[in-house]
Amino acid sequence: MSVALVQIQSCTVDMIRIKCPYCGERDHSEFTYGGDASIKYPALDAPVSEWTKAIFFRENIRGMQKETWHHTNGCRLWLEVERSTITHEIKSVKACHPQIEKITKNKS
Amino acid sequence: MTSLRKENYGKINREKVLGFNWDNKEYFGYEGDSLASALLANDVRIVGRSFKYHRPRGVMSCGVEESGALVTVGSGSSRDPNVRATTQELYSGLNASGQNAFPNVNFDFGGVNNYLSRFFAAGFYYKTFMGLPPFEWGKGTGIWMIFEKIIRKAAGMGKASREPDPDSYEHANDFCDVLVIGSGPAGIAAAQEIANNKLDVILIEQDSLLGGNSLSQKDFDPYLLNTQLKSSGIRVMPRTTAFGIYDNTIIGALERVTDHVPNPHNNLPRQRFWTIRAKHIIVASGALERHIAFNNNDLPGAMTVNASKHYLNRYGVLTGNNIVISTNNDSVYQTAKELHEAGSKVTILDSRENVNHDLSKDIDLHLNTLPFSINGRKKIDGIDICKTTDLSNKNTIICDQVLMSGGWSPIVNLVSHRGIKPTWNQENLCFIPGEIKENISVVGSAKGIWDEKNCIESGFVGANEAMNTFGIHKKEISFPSVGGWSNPIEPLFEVKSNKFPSKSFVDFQHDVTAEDVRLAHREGFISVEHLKRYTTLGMANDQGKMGNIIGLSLMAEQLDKTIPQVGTTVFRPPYTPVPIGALTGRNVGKHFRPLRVTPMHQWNIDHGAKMIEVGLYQRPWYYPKKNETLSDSYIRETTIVRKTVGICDVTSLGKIAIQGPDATELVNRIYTNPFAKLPIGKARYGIMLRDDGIVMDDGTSWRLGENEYFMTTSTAAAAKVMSWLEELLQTRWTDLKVNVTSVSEQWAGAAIAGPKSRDVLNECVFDPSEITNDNLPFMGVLQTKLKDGTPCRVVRISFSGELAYEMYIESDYAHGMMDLLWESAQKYDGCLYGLEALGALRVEKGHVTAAELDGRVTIDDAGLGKMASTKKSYIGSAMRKRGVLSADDREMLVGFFPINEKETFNAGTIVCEKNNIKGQGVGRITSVTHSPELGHWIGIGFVRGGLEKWKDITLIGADPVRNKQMEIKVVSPHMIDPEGKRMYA
Amino acid sequence: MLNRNSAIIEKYNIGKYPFEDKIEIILFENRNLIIQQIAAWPDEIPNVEKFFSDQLGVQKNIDFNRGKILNNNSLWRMEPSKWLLLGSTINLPENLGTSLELSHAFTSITIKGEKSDILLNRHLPLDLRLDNFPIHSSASSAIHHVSVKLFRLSEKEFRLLIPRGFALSIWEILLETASQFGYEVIDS
Repeated sequence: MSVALVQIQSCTVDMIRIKCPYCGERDHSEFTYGGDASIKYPALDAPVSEWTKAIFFRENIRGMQKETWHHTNGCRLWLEVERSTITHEIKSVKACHPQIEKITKNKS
Repeated sequence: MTSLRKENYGKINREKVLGFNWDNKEYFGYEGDSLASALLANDVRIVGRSFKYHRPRGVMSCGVEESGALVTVGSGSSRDPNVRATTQELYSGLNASGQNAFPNVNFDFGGVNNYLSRFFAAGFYYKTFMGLPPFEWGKGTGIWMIFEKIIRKAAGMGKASREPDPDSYEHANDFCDVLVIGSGPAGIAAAQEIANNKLDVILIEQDSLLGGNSLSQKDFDPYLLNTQLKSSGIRVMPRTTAFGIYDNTIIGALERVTDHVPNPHNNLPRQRFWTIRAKHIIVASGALERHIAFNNNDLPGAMTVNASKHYLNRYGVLTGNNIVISTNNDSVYQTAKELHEAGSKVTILDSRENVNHDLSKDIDLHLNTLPFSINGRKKIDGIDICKTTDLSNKNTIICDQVLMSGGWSPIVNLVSHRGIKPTWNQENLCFIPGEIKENISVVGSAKGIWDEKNCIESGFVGANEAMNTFGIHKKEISFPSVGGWSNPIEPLFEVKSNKFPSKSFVDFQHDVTAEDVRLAHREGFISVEHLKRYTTLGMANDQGKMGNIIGLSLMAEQLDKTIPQVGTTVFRPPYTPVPIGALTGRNVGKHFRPLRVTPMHQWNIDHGAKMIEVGLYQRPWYYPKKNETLSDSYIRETTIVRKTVGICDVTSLGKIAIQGPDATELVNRIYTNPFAKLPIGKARYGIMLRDDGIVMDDGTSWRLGENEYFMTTSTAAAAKVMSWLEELLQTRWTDLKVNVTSVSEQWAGAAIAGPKSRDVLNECVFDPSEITNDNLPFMGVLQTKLKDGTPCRVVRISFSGELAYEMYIESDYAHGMMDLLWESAQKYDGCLYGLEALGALRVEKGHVTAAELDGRVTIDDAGLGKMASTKKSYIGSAMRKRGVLSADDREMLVGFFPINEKETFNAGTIVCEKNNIKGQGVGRITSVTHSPELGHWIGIGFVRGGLEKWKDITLIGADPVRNKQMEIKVVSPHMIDPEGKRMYA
Repeated sequence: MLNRNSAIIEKYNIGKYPFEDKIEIILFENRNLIIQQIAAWPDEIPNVEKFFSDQLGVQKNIDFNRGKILNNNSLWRMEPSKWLLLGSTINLPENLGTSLELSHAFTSITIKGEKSDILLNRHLPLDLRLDNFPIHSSASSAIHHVSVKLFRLSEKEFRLLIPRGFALSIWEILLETASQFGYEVIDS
């Protein structure tokens, strides 16, 4: 939690609601943005070229994008969110961990 | 002109007389009055001076669009400028004054600007930068710098208080099924229909009374309505403005809790900043009446037509005796009748040719007629009128008030916040909301529906749409059509004047005239966005509520385009101003940021600590004795630690419990150094890298059991490391059976450092034989008990380079642990030490912290390359040697000494070569301290190429901020006991 | 054993603080509360639930963000595979998951009274309407950017777990807000 973030968030109306598969719909202030969820990180011993691609190469998507969010001030799940970069519309949210995803999918 | 309080009119409480103060004079009004209505009733006509020209201005409306009666309420620290008198409820003892005037609004020296107006036309500020003709004298900021002070004083609005805001504010959250904005006929119909279907409804109304435009009806009873709504289970929120609609049908709203109360109780917040999350929103925000641009249309006594009806029927104030109404539409005729019935002489100027209305013979109706110019200086004496066909042939009517109606503008602002462009309705000459794809319905006159019956009908349709959101399906009905006047409206935006400069105002608040709009066009500002910024049209605190459409029509005329082709500017939140205090809520003063303390916070203070904020934490900085300064104190503390023993609160370090059969595997993958074979009961210092090979954090991990580790992180990176481990376990290594849990708050920690630290510990623990060099060697971990049996953890670890330990105990016992340690340490002439001494000790040893590990540094740069395993793969191992990260001239960790040992330097000093003192130099000093042991100042930092390259070369430490340069030399960062004999002792 | 020291003791002033003669909030600290986290391996959740049934007598499996009040303790599901046991500890077999004592990590405060939900909503962006947050619901959220855990014990009674280091500051803010309703701090 960076101090700058705290100050900015204090002064804005919370704008997005994210439907956490465990907690239900919550304000986005409870979540922290992670990064590109479509990246498959290589094995630790993979060559530099593979790691370079995974770390530095990103699409600049106009439209639906898969991204990770952390429910930091909630159930602490890392989530895969499909969000439109144009409208903020959130199409789907699921737990990143496959076993947790199964458990939460059955319930929600 | 004297206005009258009319018997039998108004919804005010005549039993309750309220005294108030206006411009240092006492007046009286009634409960239920607005400040504006009370001023009008007292025949106070001039209530402000205009922004640029200091023209006298009066009350022009009865609501949030008010552009004339902007006043200052309160004084001292409670002074609140630019308050709309029309929305300020009167209370006993209210103290208000006119603004932008000296000595007062009735007689204002600034009025001379009115005669200099040709110099203050559109783009005045910009032109000032271009200099004075003929030689552009003072071009750039030259003239501006001279004139700025004068101009700023002359032009402007009310002055904000310079004192801290004494009021408190708060945030509030709510949820509902359907939120209805506006309590006019349409909003009420919608809210009641939805509540009848058992849904949870919140109704928001910015006014203190419910009813919206119904409040201008003689027989309407807002109190009865309130009772009805509440009995149907609707949550009614009066005095609350929905100032913005955001994603996911969330609204932001401002509730004025005590702005209408004489002496509000301290426990109440002045205002509440609401975030309300609804499933469906019904916007019934109504419409605003426009004025007409013609010469002198701003004189006190000029007002919108509907406003006068409100003053009559809500406040019982008849605003004029001899009233001229100028219109282009049907909405004024009912008002004309009522004003006439109330005793005024009424004349109507209608710009249209054919109008069918059943009108009393006593009301003069002039068809085909335009208002040309209002006569008078500080009040209205009469009006020049002319036929639409012949602007040069004028008649004068004697009157004391001119009411204007140039048509109505639906309040599309809130819908615009969602990025929905309004569409132009040529038939009704107004913008109406565009197509909405979210769960938002617009009803009533906000949709451009004028007729009251149709407004109510539209409320039911909106209610149906809302209920569809919840799967409740009702009989299909569709919205009544837009409009509803029997005689169509005809365009009347401006009546062109033959005077120059004319005083035909488009935007009253910013003194933008019709001529300014044309000037902007002539000077090339033909986009509506440019027009807005060049003329400042619509940029005052009413945000163009009254003037925008007129401005657009003038621009369209210049461009020979239609209004929809010209477009409209985008409305953004807030709809009406929101005070900064309300935005911050309770997060002010010491609660500006969350305040975090360690479990021995009070103990530290009780023992003389001066505290310092580190991130969110309050930590002991130094423990001064008597008259010691910071510098005296930390030098003493550092000396004592090296000589005997010191105790320091280190609770702020991050702590993470790592549990499970794959705990070892996890730890081994995230640290650069090997952890796979760490025995139980031992700790290891470790470095974590990021994926890209840069150092993320350093810390220690202790192996408590086969499957259990206790990890410490730096204070700054505690939260980041915790999230990072969770990310790895949940997204990448989902097969690992390991749980991570933050235990930062569960454990309190103290460092015991110095040659006598073992003796101190021995006195505190249950079994002293445990704390021997053999039983607890360097990096050994012990789970043991204090003397009295309280469990604790001890690790032999050193940040100071001395023989040292850290002791951890469950937080609630922290005070007790400190008592024990301190009692024992005092016997050895020990001390308590704070962050400053901690820093000094570690700089002497060349230990890095967040000041060095700043996200640019590799493990090799930090001189810790030998901690990077070559036998295993770990996070960052692939990337840490990539191209730029293994270049020869990277900045490497070194120590710095001043050549002249009496000199001092600061962190942030730039290290340069002797004859090349510029730019980023060859390095930087990141941390400095006085070293008592060495007897002079020392620093650590980075220099390109490292110690090898600069050994024995004199460099310059440049500190341009302090205008300082000094000679320095590069040394090993390990400045004291480089072999580490002391900590192994 | 050493004495335990409350994190909010310096600002814990027992007494009545009415507003316009009314007291609509009652607050007290649940001092020395035992808190244990039980974390199941995801594939062992059914066995952990069986374990709860055998050891604690929890008949019906606890749903997401719900809790079960037992004899001297209560069990709350806080995350898909994590529960908090309040009031006692239990020994979880290693093959099912891990357990961890967190009694000192949180300050526990009970807030009850007519305006308790309204007070909480001044700070918490949670939908506390009874239909959406029934009795024996729990939630993790944040007050002033500090993670907190909330439990509903009855319609107008809540328990709040605040990270110990932030507890004093959050306690002060809560009292500030509660002053407009009138409040009473009672012995813990």
